[in-house]
Amino acid sequence: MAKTFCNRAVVLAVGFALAIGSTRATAPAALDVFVGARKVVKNQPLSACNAGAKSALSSVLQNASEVGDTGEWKASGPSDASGNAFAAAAIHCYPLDDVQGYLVTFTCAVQAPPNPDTASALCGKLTDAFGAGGQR
Amino acid sequence: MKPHGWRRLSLLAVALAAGLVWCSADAPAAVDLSVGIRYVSPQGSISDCGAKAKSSLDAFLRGAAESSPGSGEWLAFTSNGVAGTPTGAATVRCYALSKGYVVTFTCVVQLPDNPYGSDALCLDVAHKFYGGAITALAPIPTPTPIPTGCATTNLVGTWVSDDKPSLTFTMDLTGNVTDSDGVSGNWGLKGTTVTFTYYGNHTLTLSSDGKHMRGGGYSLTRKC
Repeated sequence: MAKTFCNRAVVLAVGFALAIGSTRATAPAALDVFVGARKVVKNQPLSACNAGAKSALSSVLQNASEVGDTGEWKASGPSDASGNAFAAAAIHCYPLDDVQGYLVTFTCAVQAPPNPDTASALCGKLTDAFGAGGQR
Repeated sequence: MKPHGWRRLSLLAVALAAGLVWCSADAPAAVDLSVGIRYVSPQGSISDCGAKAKSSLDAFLRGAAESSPGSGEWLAFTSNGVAGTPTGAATVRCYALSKGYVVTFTCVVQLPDNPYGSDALCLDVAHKFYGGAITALAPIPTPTPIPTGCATTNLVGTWVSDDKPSLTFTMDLTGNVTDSDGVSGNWGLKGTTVTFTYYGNHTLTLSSDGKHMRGGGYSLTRKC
């Protein structure tokens, strides 16, 4: 009886150890923030920046929205089953009268892991998706 | 496979599942980002903006630095949280206009690790920059310190035999014991009961001040 109990206890302990070992193997999640590109686009209306921001954020992340009517946009990454998002980004649009264009900036943040991309990579995707010309 | 084999396999599976559920019970942190605060100054240079950006960030965060020299774009992080890494950050980005400058504020925090949200952080940084009410932010929880030989809640450290001072035991975080001659053993602590595996199993009792343990033929004193 005692031997059977001991055997079961050993098997249970091994199971727990394996399970704990497998879950503890992952690196702790770290916050990664990246100050992305800044571009000046000449001879384009602010509405073009807003449209580009919404389109870029929607293509890379989810729930793109403008904060009021400010030209400042944000979106978050795909959410897990609990509704937690592990990536977010902001695109700021600001009109520049002297060049009849606008200023646009990209800022990104991720929690990696579990997010597969770094904040830098995320901002790179957004900048490419925005697709505007201009100069940094 | 024999019935005992199946039973053991079932027990192993149950233990694995229970262990996984137990270890996955912590809620994962989520990224919380705040945008929308922008300030236009009709006067002042980009260096003025940069100086204010740095001081505003340093008022609430640590190590404010320009992302590249002369860019006017500043970034700072919170101190390390319980996981040993920052749980929040803010950027202040300055851009020179024909007259004055425009500056934007973007903040991000990990929730629930960070004790306040990104909106609260951004509001404070922005108000520090251009004036406004400042709300006190809760301190970042400090990382759990690694137990040392002087922590009385565990046995990590060096112990000296009261009967034979030349005999010492070094106990590490993983439960290993090594004596002054290089002989290995193990330790465990549950409440004040110490399980000491060293030339057999011994049960000792840890004193209430955590500085002594006695029993099983041993009397040891913590060396701090």
